[in-house]
Amino acid sequence: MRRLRSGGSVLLGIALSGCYVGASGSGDADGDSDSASSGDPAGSGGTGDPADLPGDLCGESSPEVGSLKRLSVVQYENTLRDLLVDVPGVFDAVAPLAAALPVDGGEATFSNMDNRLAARHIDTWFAVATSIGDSMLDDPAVMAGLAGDCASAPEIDDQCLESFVNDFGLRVHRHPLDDEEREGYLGLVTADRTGPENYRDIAVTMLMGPRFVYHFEVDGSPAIDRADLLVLDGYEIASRLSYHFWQSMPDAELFAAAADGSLNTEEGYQAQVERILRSERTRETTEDFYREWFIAREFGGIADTPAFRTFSEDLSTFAGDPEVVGDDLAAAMDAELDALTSYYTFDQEGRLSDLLTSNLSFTDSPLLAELYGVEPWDGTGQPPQFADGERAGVHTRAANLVTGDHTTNPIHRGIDIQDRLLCAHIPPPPADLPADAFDPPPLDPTKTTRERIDDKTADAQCVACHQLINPFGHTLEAYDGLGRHRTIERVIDGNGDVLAELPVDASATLLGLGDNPEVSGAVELASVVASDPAYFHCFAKHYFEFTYRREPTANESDACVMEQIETQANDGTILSALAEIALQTEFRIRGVE
Amino acid sequence: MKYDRVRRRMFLQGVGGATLAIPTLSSLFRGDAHAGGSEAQPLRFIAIKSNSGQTIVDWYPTFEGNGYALRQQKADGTTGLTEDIPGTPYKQAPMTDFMDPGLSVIIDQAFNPYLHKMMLLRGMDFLPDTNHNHGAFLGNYAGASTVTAGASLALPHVPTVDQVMAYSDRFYPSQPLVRSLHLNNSRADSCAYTHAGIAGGEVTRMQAHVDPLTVWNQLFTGPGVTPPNPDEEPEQGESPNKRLVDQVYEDYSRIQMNPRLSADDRMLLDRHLTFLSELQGRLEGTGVSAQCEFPPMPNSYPDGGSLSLSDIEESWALMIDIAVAGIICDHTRIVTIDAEKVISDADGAPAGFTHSENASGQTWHALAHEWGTPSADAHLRKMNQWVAQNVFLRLIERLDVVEGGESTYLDNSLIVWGNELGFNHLNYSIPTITAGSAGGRVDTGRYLDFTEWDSQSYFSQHNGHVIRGIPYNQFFVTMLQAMGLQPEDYETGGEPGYGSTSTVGKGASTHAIDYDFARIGDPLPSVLV
Repeated sequence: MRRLRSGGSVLLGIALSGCYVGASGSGDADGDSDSASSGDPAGSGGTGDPADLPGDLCGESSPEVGSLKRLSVVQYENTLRDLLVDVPGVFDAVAPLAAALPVDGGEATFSNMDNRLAARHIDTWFAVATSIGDSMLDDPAVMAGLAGDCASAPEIDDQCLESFVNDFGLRVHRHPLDDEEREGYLGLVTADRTGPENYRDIAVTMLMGPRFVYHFEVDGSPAIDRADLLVLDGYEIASRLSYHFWQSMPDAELFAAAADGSLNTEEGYQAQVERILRSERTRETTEDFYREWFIAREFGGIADTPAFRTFSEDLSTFAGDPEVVGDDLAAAMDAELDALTSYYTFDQEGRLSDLLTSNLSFTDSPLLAELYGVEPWDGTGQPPQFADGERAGVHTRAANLVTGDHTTNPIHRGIDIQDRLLCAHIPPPPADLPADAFDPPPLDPTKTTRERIDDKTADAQCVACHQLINPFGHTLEAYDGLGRHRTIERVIDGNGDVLAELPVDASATLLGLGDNPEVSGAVELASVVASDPAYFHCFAKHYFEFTYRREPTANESDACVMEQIETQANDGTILSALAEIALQTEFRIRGVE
Repeated sequence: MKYDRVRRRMFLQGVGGATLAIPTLSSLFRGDAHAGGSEAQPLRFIAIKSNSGQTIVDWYPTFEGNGYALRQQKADGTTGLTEDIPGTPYKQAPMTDFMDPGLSVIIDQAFNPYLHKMMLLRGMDFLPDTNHNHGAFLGNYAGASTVTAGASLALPHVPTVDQVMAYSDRFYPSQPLVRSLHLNNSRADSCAYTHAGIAGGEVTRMQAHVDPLTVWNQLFTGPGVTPPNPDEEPEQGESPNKRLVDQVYEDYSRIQMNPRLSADDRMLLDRHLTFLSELQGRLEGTGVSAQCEFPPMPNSYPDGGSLSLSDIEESWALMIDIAVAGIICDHTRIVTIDAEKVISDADGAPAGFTHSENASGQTWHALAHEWGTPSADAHLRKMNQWVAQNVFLRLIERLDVVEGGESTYLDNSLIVWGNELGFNHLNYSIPTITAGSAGGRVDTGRYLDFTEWDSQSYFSQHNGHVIRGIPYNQFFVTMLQAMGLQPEDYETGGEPGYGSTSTVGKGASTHAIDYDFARIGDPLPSVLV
């Protein structure tokens, strides 16, 4: 299944040697062998000369037929911002209109996998397009910024108009216009409208058009001897890179690299990957990826109950309005996760295992720092370190521990580790459970949460799954419902009375993981998971989903692509694993029916 | 060039061949101008959904006296009914019999003025084994959570009944401004599933508004909306943007023919073209009803106001009032409301709640699992009471104003408050209550119990028994026919009725599944006039 890589790579010094079969991919070293790389439009598809693949395919089978994706909401907003960067104030004016887009979500792991289309999308795209167009009429500076000073003349200047259609069209389409597209826009010009009105009309039409709101990849060249594959042209590759790493349109340098053909050379392509990978915008995108990967549960706020008041009475930062505290805590938890993941991915160029083994605190929030018993970090220098054996990695941070009340839920916590970190499939509960199956075990001042949960799930009908779930959750019993480290569990009743204080047992035997290791708690769990192949496979699967905005199929090609990412994550830095997906041949081609 | 709807149809048939579905939009197939229901007034459909397992005894009368007694056999704390529904094994009672102390714990005396316009339904069962779900109560049993879906997840998706109505020429004889409006202040998803009027098209879950500002924007701004202004004549003639949308339409049509697109790609673009066609129609202009008064632009509450209690309260009030204004202006006739983020003050300490089986904290779901714990039961009760007062009653009060003649908007509506599940995580006896008579089509004022109490109790959980009732599918048919649709408008594949009739996941020895399937295509007995 694996391909051999015979060429070298300048990228980050990572182990990419042998990845590619040279720069044969799309032509000559100067990259002008096909229409796309020379900056010429490739037409409506099917007319370009067949091209070599940019490298060996991963696996024997063909890649999946890529499906058409609309811009995600994040991509749409980012693209507008970048498109309008030269006309200050316009994006801010249309952003409230864009906010009417239906929020991406659904039940997929990553929100960008939501490709649903509703009337509200079309209406919003229309509202934004017309608003931008109207701002061109209302403000000569906007017209000048988008179409040049010449566009404000009452009469149409043909050269000015063509420049606008070609230049603005290139940025809106993220591709040079073909003749039919160009004629379509120019055909909108009518004597009934003033010169500026005609420019406005063209802009509105472009901004509602298919080339703006969808990712069309129809302009590449058919692969030699592979009618089922298209080799993307330079502009399409530029968009793949920019939308994957930045969630936005290509910048000027990418457009230039597409136009001069360098994106179709191996050296030029790798140079762009390296530049993009190290940009601040890639860091932001990657934080989004981690946040959606790691945080399994919505935070529903903190409880304002007698039990919780007893539970949190020693926390000075929790004395305020529960709503405000809840909102502050939610923001602090997200920010901490961003800081941790970015630190190891970009600042330290660390390894995937670091995300599960880090004993450093990254929170700048006094609220969260008090829960952790550390000082807030100011973002410079060495982050504070947790006491030995207290915490290790993302699953021991508040974002993955907080229940919002005085209780813990080892079942949820166990499922989250299995699901998010190990991609293990835990089937839903059977339908024919006894009457009280879902009721929480009754409070018992002689038993810890762990003991009550194990009693509850000891029934033969439950234990088959719960023996795989509970132990993972039990390792986190050293953290309470606010994520504080503890060695004693306080049993608190509904009136807020403390009924007992019981020692916590966070040890477990992790059935189903490797050789069923025994661990003393969450720190050892982290060490085990961080070296387990399932964790690396899980990362690869999720990064595949985030990249291609779909679930992997049983297709051998998908499996091979994920295997390559997994291998790079195992052998190299996180950054090299992020780069790996873009360096695969599959990133620069797509399957067709 | 002008968009030619006839040519559009021909294009779809010619280019797409068998792989492309043909939109069945009213804008494409204008039938006779017979609106569903009253000739004089249009009909409206509003659906409210609350979540997770419910407490049966809170939903139904627990009244004793005047000939009523609590059920003795298969006792569950509710009142046994005595009056037969003629020709059926079912029972009924006038709801006004329970005015004092109120119909139920949830439907209290504040509803008494409207009981004659309401209907309480009991004993309607989802057929397949559906656990957590989004769209079962409106017809899509497969519209379920992938986390704890139950066996119904394997069933094919079908549009929910609101979407069947939304794309029916009988319901909308002419193109509306907004075919359907979907509200949910907790997450951007709804209980509705649509095929966008494309027969055979992909069925997807509809996204919902979470912010009253975006609701207002959709209903009261944009193409087709003409604000009432007595000092100005409405603009006449074609919108200058219309020809631009014509061009955009042509651009999409052209690229749809690109041979490098897949059948799925073309299907997606077909949906895009459908919505563009609707935009086109709106740019041609729609009228504003005589009584219409536009509500002021509301404040924005992104995410429904996060977890702030005052924001939750305010955002729900605004969303509902704006939706009602949209109905009165006839900018839409269909609204779904997912009541997920609501308020409980069970302990005298208000708390907001969201619904998810995948959330931390005290949610609808977590509390339902804690049934039997007094504080959890009290929270659930208060949450339902909050929905009753702040969503259901608010809608009723605001729609019960005269529309024309002697009828009110409420009279010409059918408001359905349904549930994700019944008691515990079971899909039997889904608590349901309605308001409005759908233009006189619904015989209101009664509490109807379709539970066959004399038949076997398979088992009981919490406070409910699994006893055969009536397939919920017959309520799908009831809703559709109440809105003026005929079987040919919703039946497919020669099968009677609507929705899957599979009982997948249920065994005959453990669950009630031996329903009278010969009547699956009928509406609920005795409900429609």
